[in-house]
Amino acid sequence: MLCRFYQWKISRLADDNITILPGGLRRHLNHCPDCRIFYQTSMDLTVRLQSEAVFQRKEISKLLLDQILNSVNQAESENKPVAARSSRAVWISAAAAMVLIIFALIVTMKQPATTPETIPERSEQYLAINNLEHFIPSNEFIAQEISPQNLPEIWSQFMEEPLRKEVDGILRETTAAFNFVRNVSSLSIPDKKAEPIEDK
Amino acid sequence: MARRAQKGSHDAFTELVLRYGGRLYPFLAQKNVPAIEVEDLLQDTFLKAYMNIHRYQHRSKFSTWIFTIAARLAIDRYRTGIRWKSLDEEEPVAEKSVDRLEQQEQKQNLWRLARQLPDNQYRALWLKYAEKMSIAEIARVMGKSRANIKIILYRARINLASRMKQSPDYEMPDGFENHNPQAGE
Repeated sequence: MLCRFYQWKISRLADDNITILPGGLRRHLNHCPDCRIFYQTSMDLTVRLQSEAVFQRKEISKLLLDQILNSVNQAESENKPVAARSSRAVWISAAAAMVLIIFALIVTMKQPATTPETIPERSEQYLAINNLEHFIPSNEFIAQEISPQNLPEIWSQFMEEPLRKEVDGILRETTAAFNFVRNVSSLSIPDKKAEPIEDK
Repeated sequence: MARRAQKGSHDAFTELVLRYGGRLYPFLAQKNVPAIEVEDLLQDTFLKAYMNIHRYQHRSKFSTWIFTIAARLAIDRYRTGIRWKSLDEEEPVAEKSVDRLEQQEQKQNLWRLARQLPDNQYRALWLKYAEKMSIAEIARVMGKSRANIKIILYRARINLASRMKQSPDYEMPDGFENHNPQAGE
């Protein structure tokens, strides 16, 4: 059991290329011939494997070198078109995306505005719009019938009572404003500097 | 050299192939693997290195990086379950194209025996003694922990010494086989 431990330790020393033995191991080797043989064999293997490895290395043949370089060149030539194809594919896809975006923009701009939601009948909005349509006379009617003289009468025919009152009110205010401006503009304002006010 | 190869220099990459090809070849040449398969794997290694050379960051040595690629490719390739014919039937990798004068030297070369070890033990030994990598670098190449690498190396030494004892071509001190704890993988 102890020998197994020291042999493992010898192997570890060989791994780390350490030749100076620790005291404990040295004392064990002095007393244990089997472990001493193991140690000597390990050292012998290390030296022989290192020195004889040189004979195992051989230059690769010219034929093998050519094979390797040919395979590399072939792989390189096969890869270049692939790279070109891939870059071309990127351009094509980008152009296709641009065309799609432009098409979508054109379609969006030509599309009519979204129709408003249908206003339900009997609602206040529906009734108001319906009434408004009655107020607005057609262009032909305006051209034929309306004249400055009969405008108030014609206008009143198309108006409901609240609106008529509103228009009448505006007319009255406008008339009053007009009269006010006219009266003011006709006033003669006295020159106060020329005639100072006397103190009472 | 690696920086020049990263910038697209073919000459620099050719130099890398020449420099590391001879080192990778014995690393990939494991037992029962035909020479043609090793060459194929070597070719794949350099091809993958070339395609990914831009990913190499100079924080580690280039040798660590390329050995990592080779080790992973070898694991993937050999994991697929391909079982090659025995080297008795095929021409052994290590003895291919070796003239008669070299044959005796090769026969006594310890690496010839090491190649008969389990794959990961052989690879760990190669990286340790031929490439002189640290335990941390070996762990990185083989994708294992440092403690695991130390155990693999320990078993590899025990296994190799045991095989040396059994082979008539090698001389071993007597008594080593007494310390052969679970020498297998």
